[in-house]
Formats: sequence, C-alpha cells, structure tokens
Amino acid sequence: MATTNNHAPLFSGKYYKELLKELKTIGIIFAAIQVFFGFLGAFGIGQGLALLVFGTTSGGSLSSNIYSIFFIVAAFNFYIGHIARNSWDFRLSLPIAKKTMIVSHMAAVLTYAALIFVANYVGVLIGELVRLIPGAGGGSVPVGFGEQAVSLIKALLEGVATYSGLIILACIIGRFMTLLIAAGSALVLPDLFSGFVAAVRERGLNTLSIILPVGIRGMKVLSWALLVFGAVALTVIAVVAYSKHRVETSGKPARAPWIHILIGLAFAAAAGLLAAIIGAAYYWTHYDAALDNKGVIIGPIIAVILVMIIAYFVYMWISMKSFKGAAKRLMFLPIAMLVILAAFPIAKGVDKKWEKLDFSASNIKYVRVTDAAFGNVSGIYTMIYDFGSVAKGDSGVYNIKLTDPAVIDIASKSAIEYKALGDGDNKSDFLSNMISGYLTASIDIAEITLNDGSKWALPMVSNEYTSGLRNAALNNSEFIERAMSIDRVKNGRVVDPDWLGRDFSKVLIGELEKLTPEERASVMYEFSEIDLHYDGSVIGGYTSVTPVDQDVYATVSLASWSYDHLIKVRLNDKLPESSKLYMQKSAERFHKANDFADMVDRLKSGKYDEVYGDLTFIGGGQTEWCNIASCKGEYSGAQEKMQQDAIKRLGEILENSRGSVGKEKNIVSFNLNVYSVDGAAGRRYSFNFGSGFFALNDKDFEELKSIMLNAFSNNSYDEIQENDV
Amino acid sequence: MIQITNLTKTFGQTKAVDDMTCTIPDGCIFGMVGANGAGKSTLLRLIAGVYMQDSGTITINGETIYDNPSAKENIVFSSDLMRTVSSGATLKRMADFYATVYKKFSYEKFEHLASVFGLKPKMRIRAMSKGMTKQSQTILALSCNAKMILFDETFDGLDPVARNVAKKLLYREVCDNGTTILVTSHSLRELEDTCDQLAMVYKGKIVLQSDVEGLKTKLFKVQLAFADERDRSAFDGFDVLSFNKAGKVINLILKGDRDESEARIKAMDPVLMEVLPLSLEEVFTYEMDTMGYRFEEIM
Repeated sequence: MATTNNHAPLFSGKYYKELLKELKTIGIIFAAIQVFFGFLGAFGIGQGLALLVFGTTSGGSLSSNIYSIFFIVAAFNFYIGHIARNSWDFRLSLPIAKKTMIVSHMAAVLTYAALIFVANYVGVLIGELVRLIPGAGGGSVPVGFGEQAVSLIKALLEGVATYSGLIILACIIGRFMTLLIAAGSALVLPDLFSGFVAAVRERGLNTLSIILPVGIRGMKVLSWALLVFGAVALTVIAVVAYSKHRVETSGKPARAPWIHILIGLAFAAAAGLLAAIIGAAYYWTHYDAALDNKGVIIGPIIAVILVMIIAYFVYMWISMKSFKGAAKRLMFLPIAMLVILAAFPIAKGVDKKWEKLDFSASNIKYVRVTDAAFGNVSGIYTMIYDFGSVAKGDSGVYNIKLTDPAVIDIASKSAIEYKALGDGDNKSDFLSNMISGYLTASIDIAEITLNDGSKWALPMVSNEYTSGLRNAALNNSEFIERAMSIDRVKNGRVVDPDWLGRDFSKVLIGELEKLTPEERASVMYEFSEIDLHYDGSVIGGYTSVTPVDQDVYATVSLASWSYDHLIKVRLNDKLPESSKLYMQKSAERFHKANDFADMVDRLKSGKYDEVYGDLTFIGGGQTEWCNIASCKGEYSGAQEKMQQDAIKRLGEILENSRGSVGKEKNIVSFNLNVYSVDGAAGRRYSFNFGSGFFALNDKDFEELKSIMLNAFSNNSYDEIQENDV
Repeated sequence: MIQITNLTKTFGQTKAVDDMTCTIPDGCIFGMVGANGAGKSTLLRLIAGVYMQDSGTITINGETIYDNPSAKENIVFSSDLMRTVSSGATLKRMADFYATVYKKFSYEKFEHLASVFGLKPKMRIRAMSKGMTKQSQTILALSCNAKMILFDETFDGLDPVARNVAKKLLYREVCDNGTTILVTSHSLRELEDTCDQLAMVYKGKIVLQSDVEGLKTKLFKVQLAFADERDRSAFDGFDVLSFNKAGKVINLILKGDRDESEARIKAMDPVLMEVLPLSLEEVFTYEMDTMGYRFEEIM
C-alpha cells in the first residue's frame, strides 16, 4: 500500500508558475516601489527617509527596509492562501504535497525578490541618468552599487528569515491577529536580528568568543554565516512545520506534539535562564565553588530545573487546556534536564580557558585598530561619500596592525580590566554586562592578537582606554598613514547639499591632499596641541582646511543636520578655496531664489510687518554678528523710523550685491526673515531665506556694517558679538 | 473504491467521525445525508485528504490519501470557490489553475459545460451569485476528469433548472467515465432522485447505507380491506414495520420481497388491495424506527 508523500517532489514547476501569477500583483507593486526608492537613493534620500520612517538606517536604506516588508507581505500571502481556514478545502485537496507547496511558494517569493532587487538598481540607474542633467542634483551620488547590493542581500536574508519565521508561527498558532502582531514587531524592529548578529560580532570576550576566538574579521564572517544559517535554518523549519502542520488543529498545539515539545522546552529554558539571571550573584558564587565541591552546586541547579519544570508544566496546561495532558508531557523533562546538565561541562571548559587567558603586554603580539575604535572619523568623508570606495578603504583600515608598546600596553590594561569583570565574584557583573551588551549592541572594538595566535575582540568600554588607545594610535605613523589616506575618498562625490556639485569635491580633496596625514588626522580627531579652530559641535558636517602657515589653519565649518544654514564661521584672511566655493555657490543659489526680488522690494518699500534675522560679516580678519530684531510696535517713533530706513537701505545693498558673487572680498552671511500681512486679504506672507552669502563691495560692506551697528544698537534685542580669529 | 475502516476524527471533545466503516464502490453516485454537524463534511475532507484521521484507515484503490499526491490525483474536492480565490480571479483563471494541477483536465469539456450552464469563462468569481458559483464549482470539478469527485452540499439551494442540469451531467459522468461521485446534503429530497447509493450519517456514524432502488423496493405500503375483521396477527408471517387500521381499511408498511409479499396477501383474499410506493423520506423514517432511531431527531 503506497501511503506516503516521501516521493513527492520538493518543487513543482507548474505550481510555481501558478504561484507566480498569484503573487504577481504584490511583486509588481513592490518592484515599482523599489524603482521609486532606488531612484530616490540615487539622490541620497533613502537613508534619511529610512531614519524618519523606521528610526534606523541599519538596514542600509529605505530600499532594504521596503525589501523586508515584501517578505512580510509574502508570508501573509502564504498564510491566507495555504494556512488560513478558508483555504483548507481548496488548497489541501489538491494533488500536491504540502512540502511541494511551501517550497514552490518560497521559490516564487524569491523570484519576485530577485525582480525587486533588480528593480532597485533600475531605479538607481534612472536616478543616475537624471543626475546627468545639469541642475538635477548632479553632485550627489551617495549610493554605491556594491554597498547597496550588500545592504539588499542582508535585507534578503533577513526577509527570508522573517518570512519563514512568520510561516512557522502561523503553523503553530494559526491566528491572523497573532501573526499580525508578530509581523508588526518585525516591521517596527527591522534590525532586531541584525542587531543581535552585530552584537555577536562586536562583543569581545564573551562566551562565544571564548569558544570561537576568531577575531574581528572572523566575527564579521561569523555574523554573515549566522545570518545565512539563520535564514536557511528557519526556511527548513518552515518547510517541515508546514508539511507536518495539521490544519484542523490550528490553535490547538496539543495535536502537534513535536512542535509542542519544542516550544515547551524553549519556554522552560527561557524561564530557567531567567531564574539563573535573577539569582546570578548567588549562582555564580556557588558555581565556582561547585567546580571543586559538587555538593554546593546542587541547590541552584535544582532551583533552576524546578523553575523549568513548573514553566513547562504551566505552559502545557494552558496550551492543552488539560491538567492530565500536561502531566503526561512532563515525561519529556528528562531530555530538558540533560540539555541543562550538558551546559555545565561546557561552562566548566569555558571557565578553564577563561582562567588561562593572559592579556599581559608581554603576551600580546600586536593590536589591530579600526576607525570605529575612535568614534566617528568620517567627518569630511560624509561630505564626499562614495560608498564603494569607502568600503574598500574600510577593509584596508581593518588591517592596521600596531606593535607600538604604548598601544599594546593600553590594550593590555583594558583587556585585563575587562576580563576582571568576568572573574570570580564579579562574574555576575560580567554576565549582566554581557546580556545588556547583547541588548544594546555595538561598542567600539580593537583586536588583540596573543602570542599563541588567538584573536580577541576588545570592547572599548572605558573612555580612559578608548582615548588612550586613540591617542596612542594617532601617534603611530602606520595608522595615520593608512587611516588618513586620501585615496579612500579620492573618487568620492558630494552627498549633501547636492548643489555643491562635483567641482566642489575636487577642490576640497585637492586641499586635503596638500595636508599631511598627520594634519588631516589632527583635523579629524581634534588630536593636536595645535589650535585648529575646529568646532567640535559640528554634526557630521563639512570641514574644509588649508594650511596658512606652519601652525595655523583657517577652518570653515558649515554643518548642520540639513546642511542648510551656517553654524559657525571662523577664518582668517586666507579663506580656503573650498570655503570660497561653498560661499559662492550658496550665494548664487540664494540669488536665484524666485522671491528674492520680492523680498528686496518689500524691504525697500516698507511693506512688511516684521523683519528679523541676523547678519554675519566675514572678512578683514574678523567676524561680526548682528541681530535684526523685530521692528514694529515696540519702539519709539524715532527708533522705528531709523530702523525702517535701515531696512530700506539693507534692501538696496542686497540688490547691489546681485551679480557680484565671488568677485568681492567682503563676504556677508545673511539669514533673514520677512513677514507681512496683506490687509485686504488677511493673508500672511512669510519669507524665510535661511542663510546665504553675499559678496559686497567695500562701500556697501562698510555702510551695511555701520547701519547694523547704529540702527540696532539701541534696542534691547540688539546683540553684537565679535569673534576673534 | 474507497475503503473506510474504523475511521475516527475528533475535534476537541467532539467526535466528528466515530469509528466509521464503509465501502464506496466505483462508478456510483453516493449520497450522504445527515443533519448539520452529523460529520458529512468532515468525512469528505478526510476522503479529500484535507484532514488527517486520528485513527482508522481510509484508502482509495489501496492508497492512503493524506498528503499523498498520487492518490489525490484521482480526487477532486469541489470546494467553495468564493473562499479560495483572489478577488480578480475569473472562471477561466480557475480553469487554468486546475489544468495545471490536474493532468487530465479538459478545456474542451470545461468550455462545453460552461456553455451548458450559460456561464462566461471571463466572468469574475466574486461577481457571481451563489448559485452561479456552485455551477462553476461543478464545471471545474467535472472538467478535471478525476476518478472521484466530492461535492459538499454543492447542489443544495440550486434552482430546479440548474439542479436538473447538474444531475444530468453527473449521470453522464458516471455512465461515460465510470466516475464515482460523492454528494452530501442535509436534505434527503435533494438526493432522492440523484443517488444510486445513500448513507445516513448521524453523530459521526453511518447508521444506514443502501442502494436507493433496493430501499424503495424492499419497503412498500399496502392498503387493504377484508370482508371480515382481521387484526395484526393475521400478518405475522410478514415483516411488518407499521400497522394501522381505520374501520375495515388496513394500512401496512412491509419490508421484504415485494412480489412475493403481494402474492401472499392476494392469497388472503382481500376485497381491496393497493400497493403504494413510499417516498425515500418515508423509507428512511421506517428504517430508522426499526433501528431504534427517530428520523426527526437525525434530520
């Protein structure tokens, strides 16, 4: 009697084609979305949107997050078509084995995933072509193809894991709402899995690294391996889960013993672990003693096992709704106990290895350092990013091997301190650190290679050692030479603001090339006794530098979240070319604004209700900053008249500046807001020009300066500051 | 041939199918009748391989069915299309789907049947009335040319014209291709003139199974009058299921060989004798009574 489906094929081409038709609408919609976001990505918009929408850019870009959503939708497609009650009669009566159904569905989903992958590149390609059109944001190319591919492949693997995970959940629970909540969680926390993997990769001296001391690169490989393994394992489990799933028992896991036992054990193990953590201090204290005296260990172990038994029993009782049935299931607990007991010899082995770890300076062969060990080094690079070239640079930086005794000494002290957390009575601290580390993910790392060749990722948890190692590394010519290599960004292009264009990045890189690696490092790391005039509050912005003489630099920091306005200007009379160029382009852009003329007209005619803003005079070796305060209703008639005259003249001077951009030496940074109300219509007009640069002739410059100092010096809103260079 | 042996299926505390044993021969229209919740649909789903039984066996030509594609190749479960397809699916789209899955699917037959029912293949399923959906189910199921077709209350509620068309198509399917057709209904009248085999399902068990003609000929009603007084004892030699006397008129429900019984009664020299046919419902009522069931409770 032929009775099984063992000979049924895993994959059915015909059924696969049918599923392609069923998934067609979903696939096309997502492909279209990916074309759109790929297009946006070509202009560097994806990551900002991802940050806005998902609160993270860890997925790489919005494209990769959208990619993940596709897999969630695909999982729901499978649920509705193959698992939901309405689908049973139709789908399960077909002469197709269940394993064939799910594998074919997976194949169809992956086919559309490939299409969506390609669609993203089509979008990027279209964006790239559009960028070639003058004035269409030609200066910005943030998306490196390689980086995008890596991001999407990561999203693909995570998506497959999510898709399979949801199918497994659907097979176990079978409830739409549960699935919806799970999918929502996956959506809200898109980087949950990758965060865990990153934690595994980036945590040093943890249990895993003791078992597998593979170093930073090894951990990176391991993280990818874990991701691939996770996706594959979940896929296989999903196939088995659906093949074994009996629809009529949905919501009653008592009828699927194998999965019931698995969940019960997992639940019990989790409860046991929780119990172990709660009693960690007591546990670890006794654990050490237990290695020598088996009698002492019995108490905590029994306590943990008891918790597991109770948790398992309660879970079974609730899920089976049968006390008797739950009691029967306890027969599986010996297996659970064996699993727990097996952990102890492993722990003992790990402990022995742990004790032998010697991080003394004499036992350290060398230390590798990464950019990440010193915080954000990107600074200038974020301005001229090309993901592809940076990725190459990254791998180079990872290879920096330092044998400097000072570096080794600091790394040794840091490692010994960190290891001490895991020693003796402090093991509970170590454990809690480790667990919290897993939850909070990344920490900067250096890599220590011992004399026996084993590599250890060292978390730079102490500021003292982090800065110490940083300083030591920055004194190391090899690190400086490689980390500060301009080759890393030589082919980079400006990300933001896109109106800066390619010529700006060339000028900037040209200036950087003239600096020595040490000078660049000084600027980037604020690491020097030299006064660099570097504003540390700048957020990921642009710092252009140029040597003026042996010791002094002129620095212009033009940076903010949006790169739209000036935060601070410090310079001397030798303004860097990149800064000039920035100002010129900014001024051009300002003058091109459609409502510039309207604003000037209103200033000149007095048709406004309120004017406020600030002016910054740049030039002549000094910077002066003036507030233009609100000038209606709060002043005496004489003051108001004087201010109105001043503002009228201000309009004339601004008008004069038109066309002189870049030709004059007197540069003014200008941030002006003009409000007016149309009395008849009752409409309020607002002109907010943000910031812009104006190059003025000597006469206008002096007059404007005089106006500002005189016209606004007598009211309470007036502030004048002078900043020395 | 479908062989069901000691089949049991339980949902929670409810035994939907309870130690059921029966044989469904090839090439017949097998009707299963029972009240809602009797276990008819569960049995069909077990036969179709949608459910897996808790115990017992169910085989088609020796093969088990659950998750067994080669056995399922011979079965089509005519399921509710409204619940299974996307909103945009047309009858033709569903035909394409079945054609992909069932090797013997015939587009020629599909188009012919669609024209018989007056349905347009390009019509969207979701736009169809309930009756049209059921007709579509029938068309698709018959077009698969499977050895066995399962209809779960598919013909209940069809208008008389459509029902007659459907019945004729089923007859032709059985005659031409030797197909076995299983039909369930909660109404005996729906199946009365369709099936050649009938089973009554009650609380997960088949309480009565017989061929329809046999049932009808084995049970019959006789109206009699004698010149003298006769009581029930006069008919002791007969298998009397019911005896009623009003004045000199006696109404009997007899079970057994009709011709032989008729000859024996004639020999008793009645002044009036008339043999009347029983409706299937009456047959079932009396049969149930003899088995200790009350037909009204079962249906």
